[in-house]
Amino acid sequence: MFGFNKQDIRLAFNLFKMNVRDRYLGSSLGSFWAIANPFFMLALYTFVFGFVFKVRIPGAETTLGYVIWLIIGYGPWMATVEAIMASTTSVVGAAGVVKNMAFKTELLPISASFVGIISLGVSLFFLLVLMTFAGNVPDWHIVWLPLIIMLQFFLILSIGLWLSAINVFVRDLSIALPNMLTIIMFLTPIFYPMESMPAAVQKLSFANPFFLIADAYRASLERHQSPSSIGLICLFFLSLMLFISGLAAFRRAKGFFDSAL
Amino acid sequence: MELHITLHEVSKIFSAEGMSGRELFSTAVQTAADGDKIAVAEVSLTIQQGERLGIVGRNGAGKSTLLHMIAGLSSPSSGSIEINGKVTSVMTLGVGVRDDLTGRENIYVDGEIQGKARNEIDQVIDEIIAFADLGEFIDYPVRTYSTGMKARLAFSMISHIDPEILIIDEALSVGDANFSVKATARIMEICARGKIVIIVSHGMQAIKDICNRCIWMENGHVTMDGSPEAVTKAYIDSVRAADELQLMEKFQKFIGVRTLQAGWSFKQVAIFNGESKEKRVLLEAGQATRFVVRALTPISAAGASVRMRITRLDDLVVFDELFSTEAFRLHDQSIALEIEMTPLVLGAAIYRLDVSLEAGAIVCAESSSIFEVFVFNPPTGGKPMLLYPATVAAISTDSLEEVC
Repeated sequence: MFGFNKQDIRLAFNLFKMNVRDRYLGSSLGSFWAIANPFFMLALYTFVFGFVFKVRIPGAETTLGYVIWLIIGYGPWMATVEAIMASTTSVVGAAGVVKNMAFKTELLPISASFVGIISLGVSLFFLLVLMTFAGNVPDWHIVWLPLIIMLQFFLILSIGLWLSAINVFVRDLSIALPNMLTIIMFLTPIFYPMESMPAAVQKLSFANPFFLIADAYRASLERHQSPSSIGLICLFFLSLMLFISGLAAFRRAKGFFDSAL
Repeated sequence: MELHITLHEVSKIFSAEGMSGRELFSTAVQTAADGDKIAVAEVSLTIQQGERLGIVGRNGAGKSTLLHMIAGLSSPSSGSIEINGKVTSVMTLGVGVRDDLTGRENIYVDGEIQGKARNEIDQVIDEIIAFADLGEFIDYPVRTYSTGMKARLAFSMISHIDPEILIIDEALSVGDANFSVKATARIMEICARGKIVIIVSHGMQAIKDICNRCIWMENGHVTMDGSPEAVTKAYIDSVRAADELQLMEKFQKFIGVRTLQAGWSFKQVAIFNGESKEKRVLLEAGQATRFVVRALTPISAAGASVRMRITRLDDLVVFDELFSTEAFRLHDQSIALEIEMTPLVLGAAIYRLDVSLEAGAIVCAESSSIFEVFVFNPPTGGKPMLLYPATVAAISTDSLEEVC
């Protein structure tokens, strides 16, 4: 499919393993950091918003409600940021291999996208503990979760295909990207409910794929609802479009990688 | 199905502007604008199963660019490449080596980059470790290795590949002498297994040993295509000729006469060859030859000496002798010196004759001139420095006036 075969999937899996290992190579705790880092981050948010600021969402009795609501949105976002960054720098970072070995380089951004799955796993586990503690355990609507995760990563890797190829020619991208992602985060109702946006902008948020993802997570885990099917379908087609065009652009450009790297 | 590689008018152009990301969108054929570098220019080539092709050429001739395109690492600006078979390329050794991992772990990493499963690597790892022969270091981090050890590890990783179409770019000699022999033998073995082999190398012997066809690239074009013996010979000859031209320019910088101290000067520096009474710069080997030097020194220049040196084009000093002027003094100020070489034994080449007048260690005047020696019946089997052993003697003479 899309010009990939079984062997490519294995190579992608190998590249994913290497990616995870390489990130913490030389540190004494190694891959433990892959779990520890998101965990500390979430614990920090829980502390700040649960005990310091004591933010409450309307109708909630405890501050824990806001923390859970926040983390359902922010946890997946954290995974998204990590994955987009990793996948954007994946081709430039593997310059040595790209210049010297003939293989399907498009597997680099694709496999790099999946590093986000670790921090997503940590977030979901953390959430589950928190929700159990708050007495608001997800019901059967949790079955939507695998589909949402799949759609989230489909979007990420499609974006990654574009950005990783562009980054080879315009290196400024990977420098500007962290700030751009922070801006996107604050434009997306992740830290605040959508209702606090101006009415005109609220409508626009439905065109924001990152909001669609956050909202789908919130629906299935916190609101005990099925996520908006229109939202998910839109998300799928947007990702598919980005994926097909990104793959085509990547394949056109990859012949020039060795002179640009 | 027979394996083959067909290149049809393949060109590669490197844009002078650099790349901007246009490549992501444009499918248009790139054409050369002003200042662009054409690395490979409309090369058409067919390589059949069983051919082991060597590519020779100077730096920047487009060899590696062509190789990269065949390996699928870059795409041609125009033209098409058709490949039937699985390509394995060895461009640079040890690209995936992680310094913080041990040698053993790195072998797994390398296998992973090649898309192998763990158990597939397990099958060959003992063979690789045995080949690398690093002893206990195989379980130490690579950052503790010496450069040679790293190269050995990297080479060993490719030592077990089983290629259909093999592409090698200058990866033939690594490590110490012992390992290098082993590595070369292994390369030969791998090449013998490969159904098509393409090698870029500056080692002509390697090309002759491994290949059964050879092309010579110059400025992006294939200038010669034929048997390795014929092509490497033609290539080497052309490199020599070009090198000589370059040397000649450098050589000529020294030509001329200079007086460095007042009162010292040359009246004559000349070479006579054979029967001729004329000054010569083109000398025939085997003929009686005289090198004549006449000079003026200050009256009080006691202990002055004349140095004569003959240097071949490639900076090899053939003759270098310091003569005390006392024996050659004609009048108080004038000295005359003649060196006879009967017969002229210098081999065919271009030489420079440097003569300097020296007082103690101080050079007071110098003269440089160029002459060329030719041989009517050149000996076969290379160019000897001297045609046969002979003695060279300096003699004193009072009869120089007649000759001049």
